[in-house]
Amino acid sequence: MIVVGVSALYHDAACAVLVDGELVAAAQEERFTRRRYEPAMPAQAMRACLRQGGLTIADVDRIAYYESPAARLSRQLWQGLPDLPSAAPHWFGRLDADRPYREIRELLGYDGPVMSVTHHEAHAASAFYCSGFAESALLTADAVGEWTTTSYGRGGPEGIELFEEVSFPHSLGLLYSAVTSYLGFDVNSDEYKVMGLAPYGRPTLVGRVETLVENLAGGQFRLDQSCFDFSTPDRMYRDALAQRIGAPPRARDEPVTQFHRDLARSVQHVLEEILLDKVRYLSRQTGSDNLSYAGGVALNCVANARIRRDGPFTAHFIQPAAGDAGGAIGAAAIVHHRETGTYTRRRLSDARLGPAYDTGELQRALDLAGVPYLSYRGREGDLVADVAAMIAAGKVVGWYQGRMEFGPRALGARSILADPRGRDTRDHLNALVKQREAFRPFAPAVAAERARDFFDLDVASPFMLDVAQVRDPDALPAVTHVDGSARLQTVDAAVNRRFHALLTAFGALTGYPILLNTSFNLRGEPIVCTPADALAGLVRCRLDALAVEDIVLRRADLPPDWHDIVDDVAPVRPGGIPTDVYSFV
Amino acid sequence: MTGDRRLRAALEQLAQLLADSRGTVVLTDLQHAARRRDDARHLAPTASDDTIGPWRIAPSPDGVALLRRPDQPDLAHADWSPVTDIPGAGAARRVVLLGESAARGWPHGPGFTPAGVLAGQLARAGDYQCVDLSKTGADGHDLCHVAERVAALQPDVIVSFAGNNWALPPPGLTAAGPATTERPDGLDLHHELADALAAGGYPGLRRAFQSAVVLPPARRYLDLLAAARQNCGAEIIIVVPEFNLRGWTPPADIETTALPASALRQWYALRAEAQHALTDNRPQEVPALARRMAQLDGGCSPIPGHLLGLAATRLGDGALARQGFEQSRDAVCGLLVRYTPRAVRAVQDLLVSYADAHGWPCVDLRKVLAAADLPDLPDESNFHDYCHLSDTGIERAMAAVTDAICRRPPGSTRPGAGLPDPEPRGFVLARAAAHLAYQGQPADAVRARLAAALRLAPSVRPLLADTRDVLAAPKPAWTHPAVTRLAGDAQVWPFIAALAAQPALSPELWTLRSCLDDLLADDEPERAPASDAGRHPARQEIDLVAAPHPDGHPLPNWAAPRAHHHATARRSVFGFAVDAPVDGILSIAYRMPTGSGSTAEVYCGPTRLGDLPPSPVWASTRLAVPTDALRPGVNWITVIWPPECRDPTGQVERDAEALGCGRPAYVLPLFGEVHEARLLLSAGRGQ
Repeated sequence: MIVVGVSALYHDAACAVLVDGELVAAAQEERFTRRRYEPAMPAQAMRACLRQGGLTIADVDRIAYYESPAARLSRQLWQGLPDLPSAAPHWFGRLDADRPYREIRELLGYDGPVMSVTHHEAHAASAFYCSGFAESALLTADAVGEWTTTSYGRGGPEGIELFEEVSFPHSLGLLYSAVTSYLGFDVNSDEYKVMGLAPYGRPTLVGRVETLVENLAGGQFRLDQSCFDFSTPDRMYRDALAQRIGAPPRARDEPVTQFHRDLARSVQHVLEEILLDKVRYLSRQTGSDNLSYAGGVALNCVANARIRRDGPFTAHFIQPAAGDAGGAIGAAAIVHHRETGTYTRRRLSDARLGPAYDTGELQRALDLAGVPYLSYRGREGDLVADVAAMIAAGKVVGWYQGRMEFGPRALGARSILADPRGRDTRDHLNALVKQREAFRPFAPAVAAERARDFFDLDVASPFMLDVAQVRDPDALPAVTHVDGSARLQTVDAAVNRRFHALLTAFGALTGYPILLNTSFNLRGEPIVCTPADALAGLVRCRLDALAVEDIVLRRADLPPDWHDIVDDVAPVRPGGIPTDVYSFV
Repeated sequence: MTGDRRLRAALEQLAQLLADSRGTVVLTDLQHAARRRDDARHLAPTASDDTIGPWRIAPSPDGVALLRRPDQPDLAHADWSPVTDIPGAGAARRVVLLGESAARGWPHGPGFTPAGVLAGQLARAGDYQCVDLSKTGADGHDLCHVAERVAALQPDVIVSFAGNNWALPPPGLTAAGPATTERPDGLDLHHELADALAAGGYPGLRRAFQSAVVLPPARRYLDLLAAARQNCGAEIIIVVPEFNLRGWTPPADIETTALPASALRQWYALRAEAQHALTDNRPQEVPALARRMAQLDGGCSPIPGHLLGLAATRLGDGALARQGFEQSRDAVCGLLVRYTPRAVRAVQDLLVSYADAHGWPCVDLRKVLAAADLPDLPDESNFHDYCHLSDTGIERAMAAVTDAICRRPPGSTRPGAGLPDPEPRGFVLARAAAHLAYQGQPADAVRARLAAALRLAPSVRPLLADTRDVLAAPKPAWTHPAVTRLAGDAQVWPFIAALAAQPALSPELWTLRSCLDDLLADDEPERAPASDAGRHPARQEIDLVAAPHPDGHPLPNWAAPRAHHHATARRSVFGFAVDAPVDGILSIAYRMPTGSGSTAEVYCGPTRLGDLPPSPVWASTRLAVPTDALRPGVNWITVIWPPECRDPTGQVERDAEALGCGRPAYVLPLFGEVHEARLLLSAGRGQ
């Protein structure tokens, strides 16, 4: 049976294809439309995924949608109270529970059976069915899906069961997003900036933040609604929040002060404490040693590390596309299991689920442009040795290899790589390459078998969703955060041979089989998808070189006017979702 | 809320009841009613200020001046005249020109504009100052904005050369968006059109569009001009725009709206009969056939009128030809599909009648631009494309305006010769060719413009060759050296940048490439293939359904782009190029709306490759493409679908529902869909 999972119409629209229960492809629509967080029905992602799987639309047996449109509508109607339904301009025509079905039919061209699962079922299933666990406790946490913001459940051979939920508007995700907005960052996008800012601060405001969210016994908690407003189109909080916090909100262009850092640290602390409390509760309720965890909050890798270190579970699995994109996998997995009575129990170890592209056309373009490049076809050893040498010499390299990653992290398929030992590397990358805030940390990728030599981590972290203390921060300043931690990716040779070989080659040169690994994109744009995007990235991001499959080209060899041309021809498209508030329609 | 389980249960129950498409309509109607209630309380009168477009109105010793606004850099856009400051008129008579792109002289550069030509003509008649307040892309709102303020400039004469954009749908009707739905009257408009569609089908929609969308802002604009005349005493001169009736072919992707099955079959049979009659030189048979077609489509197709116009032209019946071509021009207006700017008959009539009623001089370009051989029709040479004028057209129009301003008998002012040098004329022709290709005009028309450009100005050859190279370049096309060469040319760069950005070529751009290939090939016998031959893979796969835009395939209506191909006309064409003919296999995943028995025919060039069996569900077929079906360069795979589409009654209902909810309507028939079409060549290289 071929089941296509679809997540769409909020943010991070995506598609996943399961063939007889095997996940064969998954991709986010933003990579194709080049609009970050693209919410539109993933028409192009589906086409790419089907092609990657050697399928056509004629082969599809079911489409699984990651949300219950009717349940979502009921929550939206509640949000419209007392003037039900809301008639605000941005709500007009959007109370439309038929839309997913209509657009699957019209935009995806699929007339067959469409089955919806609830949003948090999709999250939970995305973690459980990819975990490889025979049975597991299930935790989901995000902003909101239908009514649910957090759910607790268990998974096993019979499928998944969610036995308790926390209902909107009480939401850890919305709390974090509201504070993100309060701190002058973009909602649904910059939450990880708050996480990155937190270690610069002190938890001096924990007491005040704790008044915003009451941690109740069991699985519940409550947001103080006098401080939040999730119904207006321009902000997520009320004036009372400023009084409670003790300072006005930060405007986007204002400098980040110590107060802002302290607030970031405090909200991160409160989030971690509540999550820890809830996973202990979940452990008691399920008795399981295993935790499968998903939802947007599960992208908070600092909190994930606390759950791993201080929580009750002995084994953990967090799905690489833990946010809404991953719901496509979960929805497809549930439908497959329900329809066939079977599922494939296998741990997902490789997030490279997207399409791969041939470089022949790129090479022809470079030939015509007279841009020299080196071809390493059939000489992978030389390729990794030369790229490793470049990076060891301080160069910043775009690394474009094979199938595209699924999820927000670049994991060695669409990455920018640099020397983690460089003292100036982080500032250089933030300022020139990524063009983003100076406080933002970078993450390391390390050869899995050497991870323990350099990091205080005794488990695999293949998806960069965990943090660990760096054993010798002075040796790896570019990837060590201010608190001595790093958000690392462990790279297994059996999973990603070429990237592992590159790390090993770099280790042979420097003694550190570790590379700074950041996503191959400029601020505000999605990670690159095609070789053409990668070449634009080389130009735009001011990288020193680009390794695209078997060829390597240097920025110094590019025509100088390409920078202006790329800005004119392929400007960064505006993001696909609002950034002032979380979108509920 | 957590504790209020009863409320939540009730809402869940309510949501279940409202979860289908009818529920969406109910909720939207409720929102609509609430918005009307709320917005009625907050409507404020339009604020007046001292700005017009990118300028600020300022007093000066020589009278009212216009100073460029430094606070609005966006308004320094090429849509408006690039003139920085306009001094007071002093003793000169001030003539102000209002209008849209045709009045701006698009696509001529700032060195040759109607206002400039008019100023030159008037300079020979007296002391005049010409102020160009026209704006490319101006809609009714823009024009009213200027008309409201123009009296403050103390003009002596106001020349209105507007009306081409009034039949274009406003933004909120072209894609679901806030432009209309944020305003209560915008919501009303959606509902009015939806009701008209539900009651009267697509002909009803057209009528409602004209009465609700086209004419009210046009009347308001004219009322504002009348008010301006009252305020400042300026004379008003109305220029009635004309359309290139003979030189425009309806684009191939809009043939008719959805029709009942028997009517659709009959319509296509009549069309084929009319086309044969034209081919066999029996034009006298066409008018009756065209009339029967129009009866079937309710006047919503541009095809019958075009056939009638062609036939009547051959018969030498100018009045009938105008009737046909006008019907073709106006048929699509109001259907909420994509079409180019044009002044429809209702607009032209309104302009004439309003001018008559107010005693304003009227320069009717239908007469001014008339052809010598058939005076009921305009001379094609007066046009750059569909509504924009050529240099000679601008000269003729402005000579007539000069007569009106100077109160001379029509024809007194001798039109100028147009652009003095062949170089810029050739360049403008080349640009026209590209533009016509973009607008879906036939290859013959594109090729003729290109050939004329080359004859007139051989120096445009490198530009054309560079354009062809960008079209043929491997992706990313912006890497091609031709792009670098053209990046410094401000006049062509926006077009070239758009070409270089396309992930794949649309059929229209394949046409342009093919025409350029044909024209340039003669002089380039030794031109090397686009790249080295040594890297050709043994087998090459060409994706024929690659989308020309990051969002997917744009449709000729305003529906959201699809990732796959929708055939809204019976003929789907997919372009591709090969260096050398080789054997290939064409794999197609397709479906048809009815699957009622007729097959679709598949061709490569003129060679029939085989048929697609009828299938209402997605099906896959492989067809052999023999070497001799291909030619070096651009090739075409064509699918001719059977004349069958979905039940139009259901489609009208769905479209009315969509309109009422602020979504685009589909309007057109859907003959077939192609999800995948891949050409696997056994060797060599293609695109």
